[in-house]
Amino acid sequence: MSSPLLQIRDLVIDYGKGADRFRALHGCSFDLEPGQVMAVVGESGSGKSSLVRAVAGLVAPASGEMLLDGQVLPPLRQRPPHTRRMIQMVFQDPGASLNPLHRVQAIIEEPLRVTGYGDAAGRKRRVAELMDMTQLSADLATRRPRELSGGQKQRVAIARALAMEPRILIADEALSALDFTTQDHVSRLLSDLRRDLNLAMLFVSHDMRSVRRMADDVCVIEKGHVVEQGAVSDVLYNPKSAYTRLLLAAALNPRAALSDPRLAEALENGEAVSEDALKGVMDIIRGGALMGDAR
Amino acid sequence: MNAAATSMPPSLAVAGLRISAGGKVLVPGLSLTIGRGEIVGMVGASGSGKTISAFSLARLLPDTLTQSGEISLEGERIDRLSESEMRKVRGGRIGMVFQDPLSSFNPLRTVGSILVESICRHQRLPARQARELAIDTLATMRLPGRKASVDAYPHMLSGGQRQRAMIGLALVNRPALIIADEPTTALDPTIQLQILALLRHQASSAACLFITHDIGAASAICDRLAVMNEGEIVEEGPTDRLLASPTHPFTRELLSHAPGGARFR
Repeated sequence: MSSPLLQIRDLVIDYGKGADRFRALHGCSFDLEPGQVMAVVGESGSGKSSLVRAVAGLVAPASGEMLLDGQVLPPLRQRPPHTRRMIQMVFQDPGASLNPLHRVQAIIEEPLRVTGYGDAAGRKRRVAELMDMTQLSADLATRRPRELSGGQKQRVAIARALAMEPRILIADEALSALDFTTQDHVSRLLSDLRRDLNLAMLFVSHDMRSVRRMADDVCVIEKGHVVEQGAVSDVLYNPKSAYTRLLLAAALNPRAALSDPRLAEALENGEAVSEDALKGVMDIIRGGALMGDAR
Repeated sequence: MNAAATSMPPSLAVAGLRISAGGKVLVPGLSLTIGRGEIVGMVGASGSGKTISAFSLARLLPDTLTQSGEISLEGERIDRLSESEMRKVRGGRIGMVFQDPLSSFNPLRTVGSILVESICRHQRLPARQARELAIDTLATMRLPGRKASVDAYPHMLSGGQRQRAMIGLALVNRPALIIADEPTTALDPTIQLQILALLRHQASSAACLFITHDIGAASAICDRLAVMNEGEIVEEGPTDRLLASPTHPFTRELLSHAPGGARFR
């Protein structure tokens, strides 16, 4: 059997040195196959962004192994061009990652130009193709980012990432800044792209519904430790850790969660909530009861 | 409702609130009542007019917008008050909580001194007592370490802790009304749940208007929901009724896009 597309083994990430050292990730391992989507879930500061940034080459791990097609994946500066192209990233705030002075056409064209793709006419055709793939209407090509909605900006960022024909797309909270309706539309787009391009994805998100819709596997990280990992069908329907349970309750039925007086008090006090305290809420959610059914 | 409650004026009564920008009408005529101890959620997509409506209650609209209509706080018309009188109402009888405390707190002031300033302005307490009250309030908001959080600068607190401090600031002068504009939107889901639990418990002494695009967050703590679209309340009712049998298509639309609004399995 050939090796997986991406293999991550015992990845440890530190920031700072000596006495100031902070361990952001205490060891994480997984395989990613072509076309496979893994969701990475956790609070701000949990280490989930550090994990995907290491894969993107933006952070150098302290120890552990990253293999792409069985080859060691070095930090970004040492990655040969064809390796760089294979892993592309879309960030949370498209406003900050798109040059405000450039038009959509130029933004999507830039990676093509930098990598020497075709001539001007060929690049223009390719940009039109990428805009079509990301469901951006052709007349937006002459607009600047500030003339676009949040959803359109994120589509431009996705089109730019796809220009490199990556095999792995990293979406770091790419939906979080969008309103719910737009989140639905963009997550549907990502699902279509994954199917049509056999694109593997690392999908960092809090949104349990898009995790459910898009991901095959999920890795739940809490304070730098992987607390739960496995198939979405397993982890989301049978969550073991208190954090995963609370996250599901918060996303799916916050009304039920706060209707439990003991749980509401612990939450108000900012105390750690035990797995046990969340059993009642889990039973409600497992029974299929959503917001509207809460009593 | 008992006799005593009916004889008391509601904490907030809005009638015929109209907001326009030049010739363009943004809110044609909004009416809303909130009783003491009640939390009402004003829910709608971005651009539905919910935030300008809420800001107009505290008369905080920019000069480019004009408002008319009756706004009564505990039976007293505040829409006729002068700007200097309104300044006493804001932060005093109306407490406000915003989405991002980091941009609404002065970064050069400690959290304690921000509270002390507000207490001194609205309650005329001597400095020492004001500081005691600030310490007590932050402790009630479950901020850790009595002294530590009073002397902390906003950037030293986590997002959830800053929002706890902001709710403390909104409540410290025992307001009649709290306006909370997207107070949980910028927070992680589990921290959102903590802030919702805190807000529901602590706001029970006042009336609360909770503005959000997240019908899930609103449903968690609100007694009633008012769904806004294009400057108008298209549907209003008790939370359980509205969630179980929404009648307006826009309410159904909001529910279908909320994380917990559509069937999960």
